[in-house]
Amino acid sequence: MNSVPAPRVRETAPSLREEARQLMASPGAFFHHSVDEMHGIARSRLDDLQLQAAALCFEEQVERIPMVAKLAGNQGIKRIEAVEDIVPLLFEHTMYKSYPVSFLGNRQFDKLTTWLNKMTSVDLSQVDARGCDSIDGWLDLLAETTELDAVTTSGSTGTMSFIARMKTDIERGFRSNRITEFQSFGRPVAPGSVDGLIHVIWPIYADGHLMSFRAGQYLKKIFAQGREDHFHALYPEKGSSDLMWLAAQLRAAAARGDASRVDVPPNLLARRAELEAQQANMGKHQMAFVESLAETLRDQRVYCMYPSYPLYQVAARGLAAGRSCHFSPDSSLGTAGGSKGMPLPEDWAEQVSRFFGIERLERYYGMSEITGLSKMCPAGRYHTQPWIIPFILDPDTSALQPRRGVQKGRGAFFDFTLRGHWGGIITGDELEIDFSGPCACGQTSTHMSPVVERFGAKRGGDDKITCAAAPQAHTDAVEFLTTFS
Amino acid sequence: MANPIASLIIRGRIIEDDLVEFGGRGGALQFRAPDPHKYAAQLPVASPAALADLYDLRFDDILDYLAELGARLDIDRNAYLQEARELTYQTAPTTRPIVDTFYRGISSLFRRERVRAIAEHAIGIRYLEGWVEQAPDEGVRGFVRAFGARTLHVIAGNSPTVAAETVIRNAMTRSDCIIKLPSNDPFTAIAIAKTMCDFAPHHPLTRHCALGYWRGGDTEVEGLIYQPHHIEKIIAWGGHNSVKHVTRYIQPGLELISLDPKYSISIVGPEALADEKSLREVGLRIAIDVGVVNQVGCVNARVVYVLTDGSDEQLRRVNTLGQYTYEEMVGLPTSVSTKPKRYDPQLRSHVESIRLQDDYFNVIGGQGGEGCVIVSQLPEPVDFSTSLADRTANIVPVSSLEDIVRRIDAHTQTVGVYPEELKERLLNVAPLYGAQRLVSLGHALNHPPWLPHDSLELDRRLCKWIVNEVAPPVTELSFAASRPGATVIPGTKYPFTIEAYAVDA
Repeated sequence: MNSVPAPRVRETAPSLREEARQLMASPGAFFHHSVDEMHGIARSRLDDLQLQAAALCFEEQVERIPMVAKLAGNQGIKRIEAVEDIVPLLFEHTMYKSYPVSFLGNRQFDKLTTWLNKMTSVDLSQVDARGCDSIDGWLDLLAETTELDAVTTSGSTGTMSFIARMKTDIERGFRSNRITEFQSFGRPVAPGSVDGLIHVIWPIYADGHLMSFRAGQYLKKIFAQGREDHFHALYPEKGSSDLMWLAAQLRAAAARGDASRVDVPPNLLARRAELEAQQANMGKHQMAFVESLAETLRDQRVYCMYPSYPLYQVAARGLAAGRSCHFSPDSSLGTAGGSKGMPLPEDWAEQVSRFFGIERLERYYGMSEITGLSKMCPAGRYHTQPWIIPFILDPDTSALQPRRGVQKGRGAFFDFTLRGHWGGIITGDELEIDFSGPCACGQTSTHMSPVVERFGAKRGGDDKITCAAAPQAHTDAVEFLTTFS
Repeated sequence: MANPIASLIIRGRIIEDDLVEFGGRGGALQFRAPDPHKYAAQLPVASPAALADLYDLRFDDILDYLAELGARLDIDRNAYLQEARELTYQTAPTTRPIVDTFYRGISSLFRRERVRAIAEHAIGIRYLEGWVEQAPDEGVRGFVRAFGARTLHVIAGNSPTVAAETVIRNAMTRSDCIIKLPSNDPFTAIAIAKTMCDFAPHHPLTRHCALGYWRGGDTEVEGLIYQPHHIEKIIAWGGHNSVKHVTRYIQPGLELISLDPKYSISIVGPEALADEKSLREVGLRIAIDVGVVNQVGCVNARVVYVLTDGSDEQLRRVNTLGQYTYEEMVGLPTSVSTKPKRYDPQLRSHVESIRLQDDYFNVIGGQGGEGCVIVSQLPEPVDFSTSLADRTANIVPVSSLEDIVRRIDAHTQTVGVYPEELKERLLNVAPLYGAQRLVSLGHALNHPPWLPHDSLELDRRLCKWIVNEVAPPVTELSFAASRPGATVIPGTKYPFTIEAYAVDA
């Protein structure tokens, strides 16, 4: 008698497509929350995963984000078969301020909502913004009634960018980046690094709709696990986007030599006294902040990652008061974003290190439009996170440069984890990326030269007011308001 | 191969020793020039009295010199100019055919009739030649003469004609000039000066011209030269960047004439939309004012306002106007307009972003970096309108003149208008907001040189207007002894002068 062997139950390995989905859904989980895995994955395998993820992301988002559909339609692109196919679909960074300026000037937030709706997968057609009379009011409405947390950056021409970030995207980004922020490649991982309770140091307004204010609230939720006593903000107030708008208007008017045409929002005028009082308290808050860092957080495990100018301001304050900090050695302190045009002394980094009581600041490169934060390795190179596909484009024509060897030109990225808005962005930065083999530090990820320059700045253009200038811009605006008659 | 030499020309002498390297950053021209620190002291004229030889010349002698110089500045025969042109191709913001057009035009700037016309209409030749009686008075007679000044010119390098105009102005006004050369084109002025040295090295007009290159902000050089005892006026082109090094030296005795960068606009009345013929004609006129010399001039239009009744039909026609403007612009002859050398990437980023926002903006052309026409669908210019360049125009439909004039300010130089009747209506209104020059649409690029520039009478301003007052003789005088304790001066036309002491006949 023949016996039929019992069928063997065999686990099917997940398909590449399935793995790509996992990577998109949670880079942290995919890499088992390990930086060694994240930045040790073989390049060829990562390339395969990234292509799959890009294709999947496009499939989804071309159906959901009108502007992606439009671009794809214009270019005749129906699917992603090679990673280069993504390049014609990348958004210029100027996309986020491509609305008619009068919408903002005339406070037509319903029209701005219609404009914003084209750049998000979230349906905003039911949002009634006609009653909003301020930028903050509009953004509050979006945050309260939709899955979006639309964030702004402000510009010197008086134009604000609005990026329709989905809350879950923002959170995923912070959780994923935490892995590289709290772990060093090839080194043992301190307990609690992945999801332990951390004190968050936030050297700016506790909240607000600028990404560089808003991020604090996410850090409070994720790193400080929602605990107020673990979230240390320099100013307890919400930084005002309307004030930033006014400041940008003033700056643009000064450049034109004509302040008489600055449009002062009535709701800000009404808050004059309140804002003036906030200004008056700034010094007090600064000293209290310095004290809490130096005393209350002694020996505590902390997290602080912020652009250099505000960090420097805090450090200078603290050193002048004769204070310095002593945090637990498994803390993570770093900076990203450069000076953004603010005047930094030569030894700013040394002052910051001295005040914070650390050997050196970690350095990062990132932007508000995507979630990947590139960390500088011991060999001095910024490493691209594995859920970000980097490109170098010709600075003049935006033609894709070969993804081989060392390439210098305009940086562009694709973040395929983003669900709420399109993760393809062409930056205004000149970058040099090495696409070839592993870095001297051992990480297999593509890496960038630490020298990053804005193209506008190089050719004598741009004069950006950015998040790092926020307190000064706020001050300028409040001063103008209070003397406005 | 060694970098080209930007010679120092000091009053008839060509200097090419003690060379140091300049330039090279960010793609800028690299050249060698005599160390300005070694020669700075020789740049200013020895003393004000040295200008006396200019007053041995009659105006006709000046015209003769300039005519001769102009003839020798024929690009086809002047090796210095050819070399300058070759070197300028690299840094000029425009393309070769347009650069060629500029250089071909240099010679004719020096024509006798032209210079005479400028001198006559802008200044009045008789003021240059002698003392002209003003507003005759029965008593004291007043005479005015326009004298030359010792002037420093900080010139711009994006058009070779500026160097030529500077030499002409200097000669015409019997002034003495030190020309600080721009790093993006030091060679055109040098070519002109070398030609002067060739045919008339000892002529007063050659000897009252010095030019050279030093880095703007070089305090060792500027601190020495920019003093009232060396120069009386500074004229600076190019706005803030050229002026910022200069302002610290301004003091009584040193006058600064600053020409800031301007932008220009066009205004079109609804007549343009009436029919196909008008649309075509106005499209061409706009294309000319926008596209000629690739929009690098301050006179070139950037924003074009079109008055409409706000209807969809008229908006459709404005879009058609945009299409025709684009077609005409890319069809302009290459001697005056070409695809830009390099379409500014920042601008490109802005344009590509709004191209996708087709509810609000209709972007016509531009995919190949050739320039484009943006038709706003709402009555507002694009947010980046002040950085429009490289043959990029923004046509904006508006419903009232008020919408337009409130956007005019002191930086608005040329306003090209169609039709003529609309210009009439704007004549006494636009200047109140800051506009400086109204022209018929299509004529922005023609600036008669004897008319004011940027609302200034530049040529008059470069002169010193000196006064001679001649009092009639006084025969009999009364002296103090005859006026003991006098507290009041008797009635007289000139109580503060000797007239008050004339004894009436």
